Amino acid sequence: MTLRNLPAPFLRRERTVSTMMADALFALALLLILPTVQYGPRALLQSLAAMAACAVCDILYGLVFRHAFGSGDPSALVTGLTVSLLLPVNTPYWLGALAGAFAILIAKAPFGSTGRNLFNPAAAGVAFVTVCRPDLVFTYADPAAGWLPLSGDCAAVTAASPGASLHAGLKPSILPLDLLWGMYPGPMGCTAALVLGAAALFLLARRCIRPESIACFLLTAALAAALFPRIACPALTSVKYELLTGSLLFCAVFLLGDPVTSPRTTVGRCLFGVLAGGLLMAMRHTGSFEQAACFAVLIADAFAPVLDHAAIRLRAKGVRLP
Amino acid sequence: MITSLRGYRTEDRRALSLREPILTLPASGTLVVPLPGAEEGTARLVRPGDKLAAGQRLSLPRRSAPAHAPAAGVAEEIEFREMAVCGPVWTVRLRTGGERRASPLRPLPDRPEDEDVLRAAADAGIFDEMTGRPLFQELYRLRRLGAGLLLACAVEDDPWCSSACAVLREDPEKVERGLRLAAVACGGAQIGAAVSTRREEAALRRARPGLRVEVAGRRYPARAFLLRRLRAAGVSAGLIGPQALCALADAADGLPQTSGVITVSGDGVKAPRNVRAANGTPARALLEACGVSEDVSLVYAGPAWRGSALTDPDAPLPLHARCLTAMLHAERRRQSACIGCGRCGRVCPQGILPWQIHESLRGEKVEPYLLLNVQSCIGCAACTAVCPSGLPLSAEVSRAAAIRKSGDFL
Amino acid sequence: MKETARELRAVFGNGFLFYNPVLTAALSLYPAAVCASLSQALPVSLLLLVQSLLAGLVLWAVGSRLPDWLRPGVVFAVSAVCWIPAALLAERAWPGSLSLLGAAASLQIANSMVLSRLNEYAPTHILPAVAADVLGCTLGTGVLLSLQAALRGWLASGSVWGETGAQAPFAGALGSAPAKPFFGFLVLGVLAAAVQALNARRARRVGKRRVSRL
Repeated sequence: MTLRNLPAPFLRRERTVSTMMADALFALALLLILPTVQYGPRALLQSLAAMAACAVCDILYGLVFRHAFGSGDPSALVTGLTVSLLLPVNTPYWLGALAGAFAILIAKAPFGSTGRNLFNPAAAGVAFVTVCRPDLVFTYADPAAGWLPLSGDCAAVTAASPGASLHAGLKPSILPLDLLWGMYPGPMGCTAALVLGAAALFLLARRCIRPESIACFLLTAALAAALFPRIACPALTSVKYELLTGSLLFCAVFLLGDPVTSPRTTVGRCLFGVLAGGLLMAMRHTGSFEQAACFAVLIADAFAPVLDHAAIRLRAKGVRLP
Repeated sequence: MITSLRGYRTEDRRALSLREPILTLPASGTLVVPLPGAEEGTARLVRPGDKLAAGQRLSLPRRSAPAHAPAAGVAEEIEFREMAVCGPVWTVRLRTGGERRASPLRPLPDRPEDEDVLRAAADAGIFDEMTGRPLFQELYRLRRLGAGLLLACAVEDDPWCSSACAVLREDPEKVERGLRLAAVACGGAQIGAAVSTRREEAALRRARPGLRVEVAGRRYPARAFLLRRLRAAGVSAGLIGPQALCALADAADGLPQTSGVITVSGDGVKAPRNVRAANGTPARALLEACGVSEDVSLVYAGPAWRGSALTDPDAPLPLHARCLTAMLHAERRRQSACIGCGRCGRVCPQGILPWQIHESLRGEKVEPYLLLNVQSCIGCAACTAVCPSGLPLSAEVSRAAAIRKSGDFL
Repeated sequence: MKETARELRAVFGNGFLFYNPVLTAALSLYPAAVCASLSQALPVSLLLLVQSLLAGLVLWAVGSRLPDWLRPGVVFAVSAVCWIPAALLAERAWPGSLSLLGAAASLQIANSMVLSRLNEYAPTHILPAVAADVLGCTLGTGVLLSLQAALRGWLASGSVWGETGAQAPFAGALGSAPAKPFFGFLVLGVLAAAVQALNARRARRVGKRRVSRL
């Protein structure tokens, strides 16, 4: 028998980084079901294109700069799938691939890959393509028009999303509660609020994401929506519209709940959620894009280490913070 | 805010090894007996070539317990070597053979005083398997701290080890006798037993009605949580291993401690059970007594949290090794960067944030006042066990504690 | 003498690359945001170079005699005065370029990199060192400005000089993003990461343990 010399403790870890990434992939894959049913296999091909671009960039970067095969865990695939779910189905395949490549090569790899990145790579990738080609990113296919062709540039019947109507100051033509089912134009994975809720519960139960930042973010966004509605309607209707349109829920669960880029202290995470919520609602009121969640997430990510520092220093002074 | 949900829930694999009674392995072949604390030449009482009798004293260290020969034979070699669980220690290689027995030690009087019990524990060379230290030092420490309750500790804190439970189950009356003697040594403390589960508590109450039983639960580190709970209730408690208590009861009759109960288990062992083996038995003898498969890739001695991996199957084990576990698949611990999941902070029983210590130590300049709470680390290594990135957090926290203690940060 | 020459080379190298103020201290980012082609970056680089050299000389001469509370104001005034000949030279070299830049050109009086070097280094060091530092910092800044401007000009309009009429490569993918300031910051960020990696490798060779912090 050949015996190995390993250090203590000799226990099987119940969670490794790879299993947590697998959980995240599963939750994201749940969100692919509805778009595939609505728009056809093009949704799957979009995801594959983005994931392939991320994986290739990760592997190449690892081979060239660190003499390793990629970063050692499937986080690049998670980034690719997240990026594709934030973009519409009818975009050309190279858009998702460009966003994925930017996410890995600029927002993740130079900072040190998994665990060391300051900004959420998926948010950075989507933000980049939003600034480059907002016309492509904000043109959504009408789900009532049936399945989309699989070729690269697809001429789809487009429709305005409820987010665009709100941005223009008009009441969306869809009832607020119908927004739950996800049968309206919008980014691929951001429309089905019920499936998002199920995915969030799954990830919370597996402890892959932390609830404090998500809860504070949603509360702040709801409060801002109630106090400063963009359209003339009761406060509750405004809250329902604001929370259920756009990529707010998706970004709350998958981008803000990301343990690497959010602060590590509980107090820091709560403030992080509040900051992101405030920024997002401000951008929705005054910004030029109808979906601004990725930008809000990026700015809040930049403040995450500051919040952690402040919490640790307060704790060192003796203030009992959770 | 240390809530009761801290700690790490371990799996319970003790049932298999507890099915059979303790197997006594006769001392044969070559034993490598450790002589702890015998760094001075005058502390080692044997020379190569000496004929030894069973129970003969081999060492007389100043600050540790003496060692006794587990069997009659010839001392082949006296050497300083690394031994599992003991570390670097002087050892006697004993080739067994013959039937000579040494004269027994001085037995205890009928009503012993505390000094008598301490002397008997020291003379018999008893080691407390829970702490790895000599029993007389542990009793002295508990007496100094004014312990009001002494518990026979059958709380294993290891998924596979069941040696303490087996000893308690085999002869609870002897354990209680040892407890009473230990209580005398500690200045008249109360006695009781500590177990992990309610089922064990019921079984023990049936066997020894009238003995106080405390249930510690299955969240690691269960012993630390039990002591904290008792302290919160105003009881200063001490935990002593049942094997040491049985040896104390034997020492009252003049018998030195020369053997220990070791659990041989793991998924690489076909018939896991508890084995009573002589001090210094090679691991191979224990494994073969229980049928080890040829495909094992990891064998470790001691509890999973702080044991040591054996690379040589013939490595000898001391009597306080507690368990020997053979696993078919060793998990390759690959390190990556901290992902900020926060599990280490949630699991720590002392309220330390190991991720924050890791961040502080990663930079060039360490700010010692930011290493919060590190002196209270009890070394349970639960943080290292739960970390998904495989970081050696327990080692980093002890490094931080050393930095803080050194005062060398101006 | 040899040590002085080596030290001067080190000062120049630090200012030019290893501790370049633009990349390691995030100074002088406004020109990086504004200059989107070489026709804008080169005049600004020449302006900064001449302005800093002249101001550095003046401050080397008088700086150590100034009280601390007066120094920032004097530095600002000297920088403004030295801006005038520098702007005239740049205008002579590339006619019309500075007036096209408008306020961005005149705001270089208050360029953060220039002011910081003049405040912290020039008054308290010997003349060769001041010259090496100023040259290194401004040449490094100029090279970086020009690099990112050339890239952005080429991506935005197909020609590094920013002339219209050429076909912009990747126009379908990038749209109008290269002309926006954030693109300049992105390019500088990647270069900053590269320089930090270079510094880490140098430190490892020297034997020092260096961990880059964010």
